[in-house]
Amino acid sequence: MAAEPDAEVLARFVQGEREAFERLFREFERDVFRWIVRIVREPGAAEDVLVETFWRAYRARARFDPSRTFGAWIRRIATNAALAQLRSMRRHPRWSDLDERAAAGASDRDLQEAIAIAFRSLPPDLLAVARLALIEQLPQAEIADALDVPIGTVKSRLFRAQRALRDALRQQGIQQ
Amino acid sequence: MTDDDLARVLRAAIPPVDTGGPRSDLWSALERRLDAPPQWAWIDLGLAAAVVAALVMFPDWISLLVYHF
Repeated sequence: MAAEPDAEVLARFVQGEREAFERLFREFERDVFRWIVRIVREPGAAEDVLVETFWRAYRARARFDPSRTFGAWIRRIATNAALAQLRSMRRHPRWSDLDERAAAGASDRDLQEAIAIAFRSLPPDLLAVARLALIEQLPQAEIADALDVPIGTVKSRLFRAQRALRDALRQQGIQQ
Repeated sequence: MTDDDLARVLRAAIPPVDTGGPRSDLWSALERRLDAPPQWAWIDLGLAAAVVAALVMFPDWISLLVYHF
């Protein structure tokens, strides 16, 4: 994450000053975008989520607690917006077809297809945790902070996601 | 298949996603969004409809509301 901004910039942001908000946007957009892409795994959709994230942040600026870090706060908003995007993608399969299967470089096409189908079967909450923990290999504490849930919830979701993925792969004949 | 096996299979099949950055400057898109007039959400419309329906069915509630305002 980018360095924490000045308290003065944050105070001006809370008051609704557009210039301060743009400064925060410029400082954090890259990091927030990278975080969103890790969850939605589609750069075009991630751009929409990025705009949605900062729009939500601006609307909720009065609720920002200056004693906490802006980076952690915006990441939580981004995570919620990304989860909403995953739900939307689930309702519109045209987009969800792009995720894991579109990733180039895997040698086994059947395996790639099977994994895409297995991931598509996961509900968004489990899908996000599976991608962040299993694919991106992020610490569970970091995932819990971003989702604003206890670490036990992340462990539970990861367990359920692993079980669902294993079952889905087994149904497609991938036993490993 | 153990958890480690599963993670290994997934990582082998799914390469890291390109996380370079947005392809264009999104500030102008964000500004347009910020300046757009607020829109009624379906939940707002639903709540408004429910309140109107409740007042039609129970007109006595109007006097209760007037008393509180």
